[in-house]
Amino acid sequence: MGQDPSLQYYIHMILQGTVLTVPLKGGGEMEADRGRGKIQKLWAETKKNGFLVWTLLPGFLYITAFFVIIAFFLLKLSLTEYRGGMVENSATIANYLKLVQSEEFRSAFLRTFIFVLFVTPLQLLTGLLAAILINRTFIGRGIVRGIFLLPLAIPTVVTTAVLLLMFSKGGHMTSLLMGEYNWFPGIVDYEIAFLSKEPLALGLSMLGKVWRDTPISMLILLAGLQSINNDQYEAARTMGSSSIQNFFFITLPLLIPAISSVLVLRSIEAWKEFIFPYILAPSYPVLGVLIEKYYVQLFDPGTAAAIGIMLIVVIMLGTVSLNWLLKKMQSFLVKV
Amino acid sequence: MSRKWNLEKMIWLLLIIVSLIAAILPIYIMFKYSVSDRSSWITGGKYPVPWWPFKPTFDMYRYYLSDTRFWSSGILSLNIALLTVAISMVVGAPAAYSLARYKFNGKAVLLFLILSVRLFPDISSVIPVATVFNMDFLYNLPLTLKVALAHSLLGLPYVIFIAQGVFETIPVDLEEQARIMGASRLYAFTRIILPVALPGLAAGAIYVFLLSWNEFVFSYFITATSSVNVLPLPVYLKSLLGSFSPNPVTIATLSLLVSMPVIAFTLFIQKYMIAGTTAGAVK
Amino acid sequence: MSGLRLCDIRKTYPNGYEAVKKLNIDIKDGEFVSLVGPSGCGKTTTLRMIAGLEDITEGQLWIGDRMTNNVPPKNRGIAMVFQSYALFPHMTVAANICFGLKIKKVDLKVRKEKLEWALDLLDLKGLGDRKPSELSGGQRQRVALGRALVLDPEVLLLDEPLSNLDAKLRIRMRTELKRIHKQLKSTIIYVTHDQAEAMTLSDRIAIMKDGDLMQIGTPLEIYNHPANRFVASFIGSPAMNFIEGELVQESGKYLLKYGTDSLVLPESMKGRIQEEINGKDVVIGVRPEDFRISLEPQADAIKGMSVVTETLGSDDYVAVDVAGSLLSVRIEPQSQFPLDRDVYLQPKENKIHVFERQNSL
Repeated sequence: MGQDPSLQYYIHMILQGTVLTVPLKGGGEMEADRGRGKIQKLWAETKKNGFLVWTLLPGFLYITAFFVIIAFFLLKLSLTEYRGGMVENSATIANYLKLVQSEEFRSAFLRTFIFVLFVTPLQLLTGLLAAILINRTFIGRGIVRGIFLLPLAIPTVVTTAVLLLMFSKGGHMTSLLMGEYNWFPGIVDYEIAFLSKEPLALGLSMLGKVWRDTPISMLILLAGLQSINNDQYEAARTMGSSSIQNFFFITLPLLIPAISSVLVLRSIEAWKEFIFPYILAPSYPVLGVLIEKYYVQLFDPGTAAAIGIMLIVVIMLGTVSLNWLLKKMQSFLVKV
Repeated sequence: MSRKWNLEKMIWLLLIIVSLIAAILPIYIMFKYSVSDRSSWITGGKYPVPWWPFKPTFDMYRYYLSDTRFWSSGILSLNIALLTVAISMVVGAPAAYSLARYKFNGKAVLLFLILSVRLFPDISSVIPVATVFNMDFLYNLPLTLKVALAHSLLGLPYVIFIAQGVFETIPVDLEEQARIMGASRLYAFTRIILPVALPGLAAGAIYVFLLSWNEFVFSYFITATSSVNVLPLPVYLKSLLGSFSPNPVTIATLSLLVSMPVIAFTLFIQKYMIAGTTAGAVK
Repeated sequence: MSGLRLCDIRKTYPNGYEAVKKLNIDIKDGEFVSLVGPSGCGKTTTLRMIAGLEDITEGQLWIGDRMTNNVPPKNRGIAMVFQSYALFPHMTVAANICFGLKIKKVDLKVRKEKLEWALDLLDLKGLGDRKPSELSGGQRQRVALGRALVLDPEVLLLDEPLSNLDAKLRIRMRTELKRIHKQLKSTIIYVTHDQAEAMTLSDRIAIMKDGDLMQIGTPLEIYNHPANRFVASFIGSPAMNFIEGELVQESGKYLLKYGTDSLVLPESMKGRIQEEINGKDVVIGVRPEDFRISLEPQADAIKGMSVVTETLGSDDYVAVDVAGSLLSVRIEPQSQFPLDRDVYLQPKENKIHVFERQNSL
């Protein structure tokens, strides 16, 4: 999805059901008549609003075409078996069977799941913290906000490069933890191999992703925070509420729409993550990295596409279950 | 009341400082490495890597700024980004205009469709896209165009969303006035609406530019499967990372050179980024 | 319930702006006092200082017998109703009303009792489970009121609570507020820019302008004896008529010279003039209902020309052109007063107000 906060907030509005209201035409017509009448109406409308149609058409066609192409191709590709870079069989589910039985796929899936599980709530917390900190007026607020947005601005490859440098053998982190700087105590007495141990390497990718994407959740949560009327806080103050009580009784409940958007959108992102694990933990692939491996290194686009399709399915399932979970929690909170 | 002010404010200040450090640290490290002299990063275990190089030097910058491969990568990325902006704006702005002005059935479905393209994982959708661009008649298109078209696919939903918001804030009265005075729809759009919408559209253009400049996945896949001599910057950077014992100074210098325009951009336009998000919120 | 005292209260903002300059007000226990004035006069700032939402730059605030300058809002024994109501949108009416009690950790049983009492008092029965978005404006306003009342405050602060309601509802709610005040005998401080509201509701009115207290007194006191031109023009609708001129003494009498004419001022005013007026530049004020108007020339009258009439059903007013300015005079309702005629206005004897012109503000 790329790192586009406004887009994500817009999707957030759709998820809240505010945009997705398809107006229904008045009834009273028979089914058949309605079909015929619709086409005629459509043609008349098109002629009347020529300008509208022609301006909308190119963009719409371009996107929809690719939408269809992507979906179609992926499906077709996934049903094609490759061997040695050549098409061997078309219209076979061999790829899927192979994947389901493959240990590699299952561990990649597990890794990705854990990745999502940790990264999503973490991003929510850091974003919330940043949004709360920024929500006052103070001198230099613009600059601080700009700095908070920087992780988003830097190309992801660059961020991963920096993390590589910091955490590689002989880098800052290992030296820091060994106490080689006199302003920090030594915690361990050997060089921690961040990049070669699985949990550490994956943890590093999680760190990088959270660092990079915090600005997005910050922006969404900040918009939510600013929509809360200040009067409510003052009224609560006159009634004796402390800052902490304010947060739990007023801020948090009113932020729930923004929070659920952040959770849903960021979890989708986390499932798709590619760059961080690719560079920092290539030997412990997540699903995204696995796709690259099959496509570029093994010349097996069929399997790659199959992984892709399964990833999409997992994302949809994951999103639906997350939505359900959030709705359940929301009704629970309202009762209290 | 003064007592409470102090405690709360102290905690706030502390947290702000910690967050600022966390945000800036990686960038600082990058900068530090980029100006390090040899002894500052080759330590061989004798002493820890210093937080500030012993003899800071801008040699690496000089080297890369005179390296033709770097420049050709940079120029390629620049061209791709500019082309992407052009395509996205030319296709997207009019589309956004229609969406903003006209009500019709199924509009929400249309919007959802446009946005849903971006719901697919990059890594999945890139395969068919790369395959499409590798098909016979498209294969021979210049690389810049291919990558720009791919980036436009990513950027269009953006542009349409932002531009729609911008057009919606322009009162319909302007066009109606123009139409009454005899202008055609097209004339009204190009001569009257566009100039007014320009600042907001500029924000969208900047977004797309950054998107294209930073884009790795799509660039990588499309160039990996076509034989090219010059790579877009992010891909070039990645190729260096793959080589044995990467030279941190190299990586850092390149990283900063790639990021510099972006950082400057961001600090400058951060106002618009907030405005862009809240434009959706007001809806 | 307690009284309230503002001693030399002053509010200056960091940028130097003086919102409230040296305010001194004594409010008795159970009194309903309105702070009235145009926008920016400092009335809301004063209210917020009493609430504890704004710091007091100088001076002392006494609630009951405690000096509460540095006491946080929750410990001052106040409750406030905001202009925007500030209801919590995600909580039900019941949760909103009980919020303060919940914070103070009041027993659930007591909370429920108080909730019932409030719903009953404010005619909100059966609405306890609704959310604010499902209520009408008047209902929301009463919930905000209920939320404040259940806290049994020593002082109840109301910040323009009726200004968001439509005209008819506003008048109805005025009666409601009066009824509640009578029943609970609470000390109430009420901020409004609507002088009619202040007149009908208050035991006493404090009129403010640009951070200064112009006058404080009962509605009748202020109506009949305004301290300066501003108060005179602010209170009363339609507004008081003003004629500017020079004070002149002639053969033992005071005259007002205005334009090319002059008006002899009655003997009874001599004492007042000697006490209060320095200098010659004055303005006299007469309320529309305090003129006798006649088509025949009269002695000691102001001459003018009738221009237009306004019919309100219960009262009629005729606009009279006097030396270039329009005066408003109340006449018999539904009488067809002739227009474009010379008319003679005689002010009723004790109803002429005189102010220095520099003081006019």
